[in-house]
Amino acid sequence: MTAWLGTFALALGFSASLGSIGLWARAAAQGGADGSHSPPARAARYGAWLIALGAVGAVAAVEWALVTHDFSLRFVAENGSTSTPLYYTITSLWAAHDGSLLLWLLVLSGYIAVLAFRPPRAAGALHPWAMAVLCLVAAFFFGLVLFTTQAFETVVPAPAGGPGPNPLLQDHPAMGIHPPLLYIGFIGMAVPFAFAVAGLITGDVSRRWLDAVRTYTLFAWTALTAGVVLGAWWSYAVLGWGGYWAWDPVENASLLPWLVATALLHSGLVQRHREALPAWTLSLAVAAFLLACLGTFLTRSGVVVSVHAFADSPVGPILLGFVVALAIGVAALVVLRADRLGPPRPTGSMLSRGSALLLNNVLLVCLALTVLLGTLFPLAAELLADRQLSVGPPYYNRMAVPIALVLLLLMAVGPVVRWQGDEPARLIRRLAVPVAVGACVVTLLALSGTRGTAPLLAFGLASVVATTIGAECVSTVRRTRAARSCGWARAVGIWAVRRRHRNSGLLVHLGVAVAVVGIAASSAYTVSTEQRLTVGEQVSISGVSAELSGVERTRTERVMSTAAQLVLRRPDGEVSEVDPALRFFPAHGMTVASPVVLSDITGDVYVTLLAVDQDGSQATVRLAVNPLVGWIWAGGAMMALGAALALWPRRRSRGSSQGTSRGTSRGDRVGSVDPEPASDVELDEAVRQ
Amino acid sequence: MTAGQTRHVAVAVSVLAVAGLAVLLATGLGSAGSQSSSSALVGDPAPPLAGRTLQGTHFSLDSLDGAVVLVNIWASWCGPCREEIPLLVAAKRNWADSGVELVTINTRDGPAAARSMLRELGATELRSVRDPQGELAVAWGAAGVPETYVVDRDGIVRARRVGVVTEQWLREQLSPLVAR
Amino acid sequence: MSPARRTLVAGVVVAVALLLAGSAVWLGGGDQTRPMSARVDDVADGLRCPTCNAVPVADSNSPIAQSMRAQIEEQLRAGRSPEQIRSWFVDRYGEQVLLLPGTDGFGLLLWVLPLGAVVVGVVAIAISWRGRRKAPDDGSGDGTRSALSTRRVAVAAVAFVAVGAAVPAALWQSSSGDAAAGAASATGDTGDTAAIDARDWVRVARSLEEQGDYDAASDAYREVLQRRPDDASVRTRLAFVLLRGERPGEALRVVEPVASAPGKPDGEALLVLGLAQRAESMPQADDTLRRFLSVAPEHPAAAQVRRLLKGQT
Repeated sequence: MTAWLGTFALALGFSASLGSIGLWARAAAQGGADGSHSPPARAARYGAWLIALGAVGAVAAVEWALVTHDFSLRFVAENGSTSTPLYYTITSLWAAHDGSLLLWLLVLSGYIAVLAFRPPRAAGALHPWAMAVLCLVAAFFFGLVLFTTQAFETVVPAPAGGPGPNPLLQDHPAMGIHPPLLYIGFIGMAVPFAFAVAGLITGDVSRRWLDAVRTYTLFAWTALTAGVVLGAWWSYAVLGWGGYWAWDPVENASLLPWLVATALLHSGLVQRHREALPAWTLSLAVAAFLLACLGTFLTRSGVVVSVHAFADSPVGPILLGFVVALAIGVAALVVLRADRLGPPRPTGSMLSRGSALLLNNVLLVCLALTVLLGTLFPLAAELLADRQLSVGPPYYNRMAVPIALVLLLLMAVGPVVRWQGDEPARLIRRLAVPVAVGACVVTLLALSGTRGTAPLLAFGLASVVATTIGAECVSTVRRTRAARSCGWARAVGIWAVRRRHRNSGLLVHLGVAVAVVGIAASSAYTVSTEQRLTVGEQVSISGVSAELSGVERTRTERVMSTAAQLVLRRPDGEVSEVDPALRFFPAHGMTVASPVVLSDITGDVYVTLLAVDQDGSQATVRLAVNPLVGWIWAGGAMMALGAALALWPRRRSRGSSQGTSRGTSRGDRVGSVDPEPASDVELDEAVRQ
Repeated sequence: MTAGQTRHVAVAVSVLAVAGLAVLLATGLGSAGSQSSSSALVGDPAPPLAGRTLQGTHFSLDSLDGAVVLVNIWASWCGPCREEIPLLVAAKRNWADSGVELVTINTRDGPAAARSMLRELGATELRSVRDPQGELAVAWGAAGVPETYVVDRDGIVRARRVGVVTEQWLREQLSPLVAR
Repeated sequence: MSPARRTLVAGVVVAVALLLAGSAVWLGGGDQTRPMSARVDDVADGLRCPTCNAVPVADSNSPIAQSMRAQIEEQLRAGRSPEQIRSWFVDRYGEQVLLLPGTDGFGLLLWVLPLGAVVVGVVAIAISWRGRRKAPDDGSGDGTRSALSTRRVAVAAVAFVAVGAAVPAALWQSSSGDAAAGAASATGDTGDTAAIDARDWVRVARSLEEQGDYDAASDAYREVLQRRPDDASVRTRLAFVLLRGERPGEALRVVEPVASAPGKPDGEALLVLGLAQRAESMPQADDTLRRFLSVAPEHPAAAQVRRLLKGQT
């Protein structure tokens, strides 16, 4: 019954999305400003309900079978288990290929439903075209699940139990959040993509087009940022090695759309303020989604060797066909129609905000290309040169660190230069204080024994960025206070509310600076030691010591756990008891480490159990001190929070009056980071005083 | 360049890039999962192999100069090794007349556990060089256990096998070397 | 203060600060006496753990990675340079052991291409600056906005679907022709689906068996048998699971046809048959087990069976 319902839901979603393509295309062809209100569009909106119903139905069917342990369903027989806790039973949906595609469908249909019922304001013919493209994408993925996967196949006779999901996927609460966030991010890129195609078809890449693209890119970027940082934190917490980013092909696949979307958000600024580069912004919107699809292909096809890949999935060729068709189709559209998108306009003189943003775009895209190259290089080497090569962290670090440092420099300078261009003298005046602060930080750190050129540069540049941001905030508040002749508290309040969009952008930048400090410190100054301890012995490193007091074994039906009990003494005299463990999952014959991490603002003490002797008298323990790791998570949180603040629809309450007074061409203001172009000029003047 | 030319170049470049990427990934699909087990060591002189054995004596590979040698890497914690060791012992017996010697490296293992496994398998006489840190296994380019290498009379590594050996593989590898 | 004075002061501040920081970094970058574990990690970071998926030796806890670190430490203590150690590993594990490919021949592309991309990008920006000076914005050229006609969109959509369908079709064509390469990519025909299906079931059965859930495992093995009825090894495995699940009668029925099949008797099947017969206290059990010993004297279970037989007589 469940299987039948699930298959029916998929078929419903598939036919509804096929039908909706036609309806939206008709609505678009009837066109005009009110394409979204024509009869076909009204019918298509019901289609969106049906698509959502199909996806929700399919997901609900699998979840129901998982939760009720209905092992007659093949997916449950392979991924369910009666001994898995409820939380991980629910998350089992995305622990394997078939189910994760269902989650993909759920997210995609969510986007379709939201867009169908809350179209970006005054989007005109853009909206139905974009909807048609989204429905096409939905039809593809519904078809993929319906015809190639075996999500709803039944098993006769039903086995009495299953092995449960992979141990790594039933051992950490992030399993419930990280994959959905990543999917929301990846699939969110489909919306800018759809609007890009619509823009190419209609030739309309005006302000309203940009607003729609920016809103959804920013939303997807927020989810992707949170997802990637959460994934890094998850690896850090379970892999037992203190690493959070391994440049694994699948990790790279999540970084690629993130990099391109970041570039897109910045090139959108150029387009907003200078009306320049529409074709470039549009290409980035296309590339972000194509790279997200490419990432899905890499994860599911077994083409690259990765820890995170789904095993044995048959969808490789079909996904490849989809990605290639999208790429060729849109590349042709871009090339043939790019010059129909409006006259070419200058981005500004050499020393202008536009130039800084352009350089930022070049570097981000080059970084993305480098990561893509490294990921696919082993494949190319085997095909073209018949050589077996590996590309790993040393390559990526060597390439990414210099690019990241220059980007950091741009982050310090970019927000300071004006759109209309600057004299070098003025720039020097404005940057003198931040540069002096950065230089002092570097000098003090170097004198106090901090070594290494790249980390010192990173610390210096991060402090320049932070100082620039701080200086801007202080001067704006001071100016507000002077203009309104009010108290500090009130000025801060006005500043926080009135300039929320710019502030949220600055918060994201500050988050990047904080995260960079954490990354530089933890990758350069982590110390670790590994020792075989007899009970009563201790291991110590940089003032932290751990004494083995015993080994404890526990066993449940699901997992056998061996924990080393250690007494940890820190330099500040704090004593704590920790019990890092090794957890063996008999159903998979797999052992998962459960390290203990004690965090504070200066860094983490990271204790891992590596091995235990048969008789429990000895344990091999790894003790590491990872400085400033917490800063990475804090920085990531600031980035996600900043982006979310920028998204917050602040004008909904008084939206209608604002909308009419400003005219419809401005479109929906949700997510526009900096709605008042004049504010930069005001700011510049304020600082000059 | 005129706008028209630029556009043609752009068309060509983007189509080529997409097509190239597609061909690359398609080829990758075809060969996914294939992992070669050829060793860089095959054709090179055998790495040194010497140390204390499980039986407490000293052994060096040099003492078997002029013999065809099977070098096997095993450990008591490795399941397949349990199946393989009787096979190797039998092979040594069958090929002894042709001058084939068997040496094993007991890697990352406790001597007590290793000895008790050999007792269980009735192979207490198996010549096993102890390699508690696994450095010998690494020197032989091993990726895991079990692995088996064939060294010819001139001390050159001729073949490597990842995983349990079969009688057929041993015959294929040893026959031509013994014949010389 | 006049703007010019302020610029001068700011310039001096910036210059002094940069000088100070630069010299501090330069002086600080010099002497570095790193502890042995860090020097081992420096080398291990650049080597790939051969049994893991693209994970550096420094970040893996697998036995082989631990051994490789021990080897690196030994060689560093013997005074060998990191470069010598790397080439020592390449001699044994091939050049894929290096996570940073050499810059010779093909590997050079890895460095040239990104650099080229940066250069192209910067040149493009430079051109945009020059273009700004040369061609003021007059809104001329073919920059007029226009929409694509519906018919063209339809043609494009059809072409799109055609390309999307052609790629997997071509891939399937080539993979079903090339049986060896086709193993990994799923093919459309039913024979292969059944094979994949059966393989999946074996996996499920194995894991259930390891879990000790013999009833469920036997159900799963029966699934496999439905798909591959002729597979003797699966039949034997099923009988073995039934035996462990204390259902020797069923085991007997399942394994009998395999053990009595014409041709060279199957040792494994004889073993299971013998054990099942013993469990049912059938008189022919010892005979069967002796036949097993004669067929497969090297079998891992042989020693135990010998003990069993000895203990009885």
